[in-house]
Amino acid sequence: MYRKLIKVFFRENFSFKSLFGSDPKKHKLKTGLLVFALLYAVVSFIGVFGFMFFDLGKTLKQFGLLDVLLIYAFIYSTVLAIMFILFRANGYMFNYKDYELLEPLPIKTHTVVLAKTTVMLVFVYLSVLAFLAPISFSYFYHSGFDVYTFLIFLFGALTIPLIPTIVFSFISLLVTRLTAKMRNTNILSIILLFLFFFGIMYLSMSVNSVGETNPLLNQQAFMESIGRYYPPIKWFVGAIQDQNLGYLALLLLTNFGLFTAFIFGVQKLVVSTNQRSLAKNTRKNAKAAVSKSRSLMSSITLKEFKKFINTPIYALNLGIGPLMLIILAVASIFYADTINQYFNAEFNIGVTPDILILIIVGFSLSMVFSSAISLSLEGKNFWILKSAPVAPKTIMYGKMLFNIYLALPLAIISLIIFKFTFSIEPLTFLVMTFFTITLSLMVSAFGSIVNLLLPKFSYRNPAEVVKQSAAAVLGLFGTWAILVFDGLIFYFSFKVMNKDLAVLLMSLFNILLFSGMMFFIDRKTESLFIKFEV
Amino acid sequence: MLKINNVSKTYNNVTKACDNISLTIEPGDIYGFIGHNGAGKTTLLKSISGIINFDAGDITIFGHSIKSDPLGAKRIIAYIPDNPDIYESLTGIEYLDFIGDVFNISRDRRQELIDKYSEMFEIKDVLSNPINSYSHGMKQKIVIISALIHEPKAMLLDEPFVGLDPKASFLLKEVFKELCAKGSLIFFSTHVLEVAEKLCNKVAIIKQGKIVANGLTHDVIKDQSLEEIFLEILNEG
Repeated sequence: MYRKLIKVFFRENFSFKSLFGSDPKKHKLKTGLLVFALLYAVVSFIGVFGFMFFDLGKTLKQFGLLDVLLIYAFIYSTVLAIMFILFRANGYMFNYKDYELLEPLPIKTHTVVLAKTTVMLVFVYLSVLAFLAPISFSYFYHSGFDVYTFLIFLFGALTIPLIPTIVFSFISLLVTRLTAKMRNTNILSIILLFLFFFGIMYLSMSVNSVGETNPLLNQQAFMESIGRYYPPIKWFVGAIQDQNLGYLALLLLTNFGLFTAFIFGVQKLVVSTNQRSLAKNTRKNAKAAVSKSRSLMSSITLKEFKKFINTPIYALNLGIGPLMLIILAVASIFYADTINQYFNAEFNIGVTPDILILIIVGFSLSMVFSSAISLSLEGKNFWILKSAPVAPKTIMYGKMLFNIYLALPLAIISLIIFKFTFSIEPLTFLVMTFFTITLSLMVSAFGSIVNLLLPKFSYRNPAEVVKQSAAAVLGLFGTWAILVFDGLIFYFSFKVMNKDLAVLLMSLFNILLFSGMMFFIDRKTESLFIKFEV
Repeated sequence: MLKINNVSKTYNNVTKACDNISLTIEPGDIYGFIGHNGAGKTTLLKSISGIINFDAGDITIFGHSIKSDPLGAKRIIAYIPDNPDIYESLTGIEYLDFIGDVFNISRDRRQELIDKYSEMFEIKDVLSNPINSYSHGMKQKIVIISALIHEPKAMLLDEPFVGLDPKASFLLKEVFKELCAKGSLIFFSTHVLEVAEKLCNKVAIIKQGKIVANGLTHDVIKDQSLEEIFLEILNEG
């Protein structure tokens, strides 16, 4: 029965259509674009991280610290698994949409739970692979490849997400249960999940700060300290580095043993949580609901905002960029001297604080790709907009405006804080602000075009759009590509003009792109809208 | 008047969902649209309301073509789908306000109609709750109210009675009559043949994308019941 369930679940989750929202045979152009988007994402990711870890491996080898790469592999995989489980265990295990369909069938609960968890773990392994591939390549390139060690690595890597799955499934469930009876359930869930996320970041940074000034020795000290708290990391490194089968056996036995116990132990909880979610809690209000009239644009952006704050995976993934930016800005007030010291001494690579700030702001804005997915997120509700007497381009403008509201105010507040922290010249600050505004406009228009060309209306869980859709991938990585163009403009123009003018030139490039994109949105939205079949 | 002229729609160049359909629905008509599953009812309703494109023909609603003047047509249409998939992140009142803003209904008139219909359908005291806490029937009622608050001249409904309790079904039929008396037209698909027979002054039967019978209900059924006629047509050829 497990195999039959897995077959159906895999078809539901991993078919081309379910992943990207279109049938490759029917939409050849779209499929071509999707393949291009994915290849681009993979190549740019592997390019950046592959180079980074390859170079790091070379340095580590010189110091005889190649095992640090294995620590990286373990920690990155663990953190990724934690993030995935924290945000998605609820949908996969405790509130799955097909509960009403599966529960009346004569299938043992633990079989269903195992099948659901398997699907979730496949997604975890695929995300983890993105980091494991470049790290393991670097490790085996520099240490010398042999099949035996590689097999140990593979089996060891399989165990990495298991304990995080167990622990963070419960944390995810705890968050859901804690907030279930409260009025603003989703907002509270988002806040709690953000707190967990920043908590994990803070802890990892605290453990990392062991007082060693040499970064490589610092890593080694970090490895030792974390190994004391979490033995599997020591077993993983020991098993691969020393080809220690005892450590591998320990890893496999403890992880798979605990995981089996988890599957059997959690089944009652899965049933009870799913049953709870079926019960509708419609409270009656004595106070009469009062109608409020708004402009059409305000009404559309309000709807977008409500969707954002009521969809935890959406808010968490897109809110993290601006939130990190503002945290960085506030932190810069307290660590301004230290940061300035770094700029003046250790990282004297020609990047001044204002340029670094623009890079950070750029990446933060690129992470807010709401306009690249908000049309897809209309999903089954799309009939409302399609049958409404609103021009399609007005709908897209509303979505773009929401994207700007989401990213730009926090970016500007951060810039103001950075201005005072790093004593940036008023003219430079103005130019930086102008660049940020043009970038935000460009990002929102670019996202809209991506979503118009690559919509995915058919999904069961918003995560399939926010994290797995081609539009999301292209919305994020495409903006990075534009940022690279901006960077090139700056690099070449800075050679012949002053910095402020170079930044202004980048801004003008953004405006040019934005104008072209707006022209496309203006002309094409209507004809594209009517073709979308929902 | 709703005029459907030679409308055809094919899916994937293979399945002909609507095959050269022509129908005229006059103001004051309660027009029932009957057909087996997959006959093309939903496709035609979605084509009229501008949700999907059609390959040939034209549809005009009180003179506004859905192809050349979609916004003009949509301003006087209300479409209610077979499944009440609406924005679950909004509260009931927020959804109604959203529709009110889209149709540019004045605040006072909006409040008046929301009060009238939410009281009628007995959901006034849950309007401040998020829609994701509503039952299927409640969502269906919200969609109906959202359609009524902009006082449409043409109301298009896909299986409107599914999911409604008997009282709400009765009230909806009364609302249909009230709207028709004011000069609106109602065009709805249904599988409940008794309702169509009793409520509709006109009916159309669709089979494999083609209209096989239409006209005044008593002319179509003659001395038989609508159920007998429908089964007879279904079994032909």
